[in-house]
Amino acid sequence: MHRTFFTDHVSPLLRALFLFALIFLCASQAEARVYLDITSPNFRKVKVAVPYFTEKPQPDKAVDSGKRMADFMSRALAFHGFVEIIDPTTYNGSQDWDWPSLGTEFTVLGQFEHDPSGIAIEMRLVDIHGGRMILGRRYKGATSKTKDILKKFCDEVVQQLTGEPGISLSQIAFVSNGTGAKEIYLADVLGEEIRQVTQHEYLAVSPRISPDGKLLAYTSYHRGNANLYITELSTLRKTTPISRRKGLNMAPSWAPDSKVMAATLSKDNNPDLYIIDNSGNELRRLTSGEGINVSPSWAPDGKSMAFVSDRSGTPQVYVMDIKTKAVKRITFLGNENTTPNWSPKGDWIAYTGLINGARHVMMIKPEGGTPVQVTQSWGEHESPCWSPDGRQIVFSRKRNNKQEICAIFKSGAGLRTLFSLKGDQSSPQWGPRQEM
Amino acid sequence: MKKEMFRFMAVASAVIALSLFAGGCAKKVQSDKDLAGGGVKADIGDGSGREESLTDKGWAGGDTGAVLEGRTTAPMLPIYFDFDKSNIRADQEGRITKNAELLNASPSVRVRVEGNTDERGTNEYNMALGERRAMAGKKFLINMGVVESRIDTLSYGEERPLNYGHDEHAWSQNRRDDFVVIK
Repeated sequence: MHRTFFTDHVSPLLRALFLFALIFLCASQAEARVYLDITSPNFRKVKVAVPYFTEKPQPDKAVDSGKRMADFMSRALAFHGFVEIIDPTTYNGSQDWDWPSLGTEFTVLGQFEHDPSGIAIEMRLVDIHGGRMILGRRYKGATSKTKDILKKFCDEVVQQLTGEPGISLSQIAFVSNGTGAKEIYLADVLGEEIRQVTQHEYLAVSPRISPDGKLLAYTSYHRGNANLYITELSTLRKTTPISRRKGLNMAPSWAPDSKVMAATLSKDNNPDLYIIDNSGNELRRLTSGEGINVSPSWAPDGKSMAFVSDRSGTPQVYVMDIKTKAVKRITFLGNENTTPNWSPKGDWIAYTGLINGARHVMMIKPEGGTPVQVTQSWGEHESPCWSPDGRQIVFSRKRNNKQEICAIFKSGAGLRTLFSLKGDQSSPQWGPRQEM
Repeated sequence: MKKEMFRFMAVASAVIALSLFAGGCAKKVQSDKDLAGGGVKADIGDGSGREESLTDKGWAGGDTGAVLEGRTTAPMLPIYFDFDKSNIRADQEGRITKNAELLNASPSVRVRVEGNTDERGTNEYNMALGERRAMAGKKFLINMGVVESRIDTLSYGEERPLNYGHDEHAWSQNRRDDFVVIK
């Protein structure tokens, strides 16, 4: 388990980020926008150099902390998949170089200075071809928040280049059995700060993060029944059992307003879907005794929901009109299609499909049609969940008796393991961008 | 081979059943501290649950007492299921009928039917599948005359495999209802 500056502070990102003073260095130039069509099939990664950050009093002297900041910024940018970072050793990490000779399209330049209240970091995004700065920011904060400051600027750079903010400041919840029992964990997407949320020491499963990023739901067996709990992400201290009905109380999906959720309950002698509020009160029953009904995923428009049912004899993905409860089966390829997850843009549903004896991340249009196989590697790929920008999918992959959290781009490129942890990890859930 | 072993154990347990069941279970009731520790009645869903700490422990799985097979309290025996099915197979009816008879002979005993699945498929679906298996077991016991209020169900899905192997032999042992005496 990593123990970093972040885990030492119970107060989350938000509180710290309020401290930042944002100063527009160059308001007129910040208006200028550069858009890359990163969704184009012909898209080629942009070449970006992130030279070592310099410290203000002695900008010519290389310092370790400046190297580390540049390295962290490079990793945060690369995580988004459309940036190729130029190896800083090819230009000695210098901020002053003949950039076109390296094919550099953009540079990210940083300078920092320490003062008694913490650290101030000034960062600039420079368009080499255009020969101008297109984004400049100066942040101040506690030294312990350096990485959050870097992530914040990274997400602004991504916004400047693609038209949509980056996702460095989002979190992923997952299950790990590293302590010997399955518990709920939270990690930042770069795997820098990984923390164990529950310590119930029995069996905790199916974490979910509310769309507003404030609540974490999960199911724990530590009271002898599969009870549904909610805890607040801002404190992560107390947890409240909101549904302790006999049988299953699990795997909810929040509506876009974060106020109600669909959950699987088996209190009426069959695993069915119900809408409950955040206190666990039953508002509506959605399915009635037609076999297994599980794994709901609300559409971002709030009108429909994908879920899994075996009412046809095998587990398949269905879409329900929430108002009328009318359902439509959308998967027909193979005998096992489970864990649907509706993309934040609404245009795709990712799910786990059994293809030639192995489980893969698949995606299909909400109205059905021909599914697309996203993962191609060897192993069992399960429980996909979209990133908040809808460009990546996080999932678990099991191979060689080891299960890890991996991410892949929607295009099928860039599969990588996100976290290196003891034991097996499963059921990842990607939370929203953290607001500032 | 495995089936024969099961059959042998079934016969053996039937022989010792009558002599052990009442005494063994009565003792179990008095010594069952596991449930006393975390004995929250788990049938409430109105949000009235007390706030807990994220570090609260509770139940540690419950003590099954003596076991002949699976995680089932002896002399009862578990029943096994086909892949992705929750109906009780004809070849398992004898076992669960015997369990029902044992329970009917000891009316003070309460039982928890625990549904389990093999590792294949996704965790959430398997949780629901295990629940369906537990409910199928419960329904069968009720049809055999066991009073419904004596029967609890719990699904572990694929989360507590008995056999950690990754072949059909292991899977067939993990697709199982256990019958655990709780009172």
